[in-house]
Amino acid sequence: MGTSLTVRDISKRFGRHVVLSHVDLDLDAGEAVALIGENGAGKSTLLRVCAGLMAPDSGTITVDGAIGYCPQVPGLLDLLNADEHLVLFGRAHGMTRADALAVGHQLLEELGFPVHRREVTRHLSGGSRQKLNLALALLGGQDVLLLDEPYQGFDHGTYVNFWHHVDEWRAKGKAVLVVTHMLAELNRVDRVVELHPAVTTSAA
Amino acid sequence: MTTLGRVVATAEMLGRDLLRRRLALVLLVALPVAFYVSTRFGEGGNGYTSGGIGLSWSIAGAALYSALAARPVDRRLVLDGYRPAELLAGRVLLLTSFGLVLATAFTGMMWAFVPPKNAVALIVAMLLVALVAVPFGLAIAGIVPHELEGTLVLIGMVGIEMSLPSRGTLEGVLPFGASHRLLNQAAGSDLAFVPCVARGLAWATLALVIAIVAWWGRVHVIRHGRTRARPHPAGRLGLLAAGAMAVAIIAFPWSLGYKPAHGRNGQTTVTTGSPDTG
Repeated sequence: MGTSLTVRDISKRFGRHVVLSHVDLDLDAGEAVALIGENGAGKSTLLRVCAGLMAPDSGTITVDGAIGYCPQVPGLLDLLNADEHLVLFGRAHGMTRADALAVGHQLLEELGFPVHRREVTRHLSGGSRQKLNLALALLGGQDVLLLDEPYQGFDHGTYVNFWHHVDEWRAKGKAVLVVTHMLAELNRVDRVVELHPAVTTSAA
Repeated sequence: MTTLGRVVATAEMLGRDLLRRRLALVLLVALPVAFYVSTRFGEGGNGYTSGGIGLSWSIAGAALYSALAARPVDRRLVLDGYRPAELLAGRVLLLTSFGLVLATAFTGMMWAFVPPKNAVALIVAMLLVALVAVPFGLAIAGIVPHELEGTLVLIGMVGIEMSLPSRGTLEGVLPFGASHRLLNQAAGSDLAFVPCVARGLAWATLALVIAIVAWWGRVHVIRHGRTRARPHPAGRLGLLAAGAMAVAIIAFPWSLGYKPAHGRNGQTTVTTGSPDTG
């Protein structure tokens, strides 16, 4: 399978603080890569740069396919419920209301989200909000998944289930880049990339 | 059809969000009412200008907060496929509808308390307030993307208009200056109607152009490995032309002031003194 995401010589600084320095990364279709590193190493910044939400100071990024981005902090509207989010985000992918709800409910059920609930997201638990957050990143069947600690707040069963889903996405040919601090699960991915503050090393 | 669907979806979800903010809705109505009532019954004037200022604060504030609250989601939506202009169009559609309904209801209330001497001027002025306030609030949200700072800019811009002499040149060219003069006209001042309307519409256009440009800069995403998504050249040219025309109309030395009126004996007189103590 071809390369879905190519990161070359990416640097990014905020004021005088260098966050990313000459980072290289390749992510192939059908591959799952874990991005690890201490706090402040630039993991989330790298994902935001890859997603196109932030411009790098230098370097190039090439993406082959549609990006599904799941931010660390759920980007949700507090006073809309899950179905309304599905319809709104589904429109972005050209989906009808019915299609968005059908696909979205299936995703949410797989993640253990109670789809019958109609509460606005402000009243949902942190884990439920995160499940919706993740489902929205998957709604359009995106090819390149950039997931920033997507399991925060998940209960144990859902957390284990998440890594099963990573296997499934990989089997379907999706490229998955997961920011994680859960080092016990690193055997579930193909490669681990560790970011150090302003220095990058890669381990197979 | 996709674009229309996205615009409608954005408007629909913003409407649902707004309807669930019951306290905010109450305050959005209460603020202009309080302004109006305090002037009308506190100082004894007709209160039109105070009502207009309160309404402009309410509608522009609603636009400002709705845009800022949705910004993190807007960027995700753009990443997933929305165009920034589609999000903005949906927001303008919903907020303008809301603003016009609020302005109409508020006009009816003021009319009931003090029937205007020039009804057309009152109606047009209040509709202009709504038409200017929505893009004005969105433009501030695009330029100053933080709630406190944005609110202070909004309060400052409208507040300055309150503190300026009601017939000063500067007051006349500020965003709500034209509608305020129309409100004076509704109360009986003899003003040039068409230039006021033209300047008010020009401000609505200019604010919308600023909102489009600022908002595109805030929510656009970089499409790696693809041609950078920029506004279509024709669109950019159209924005530039609309903005330039709006600035020209605003800056044009219209005779917005109190035009000469002819007295009963044929003597030319000039109306002095604002009939609106608000």
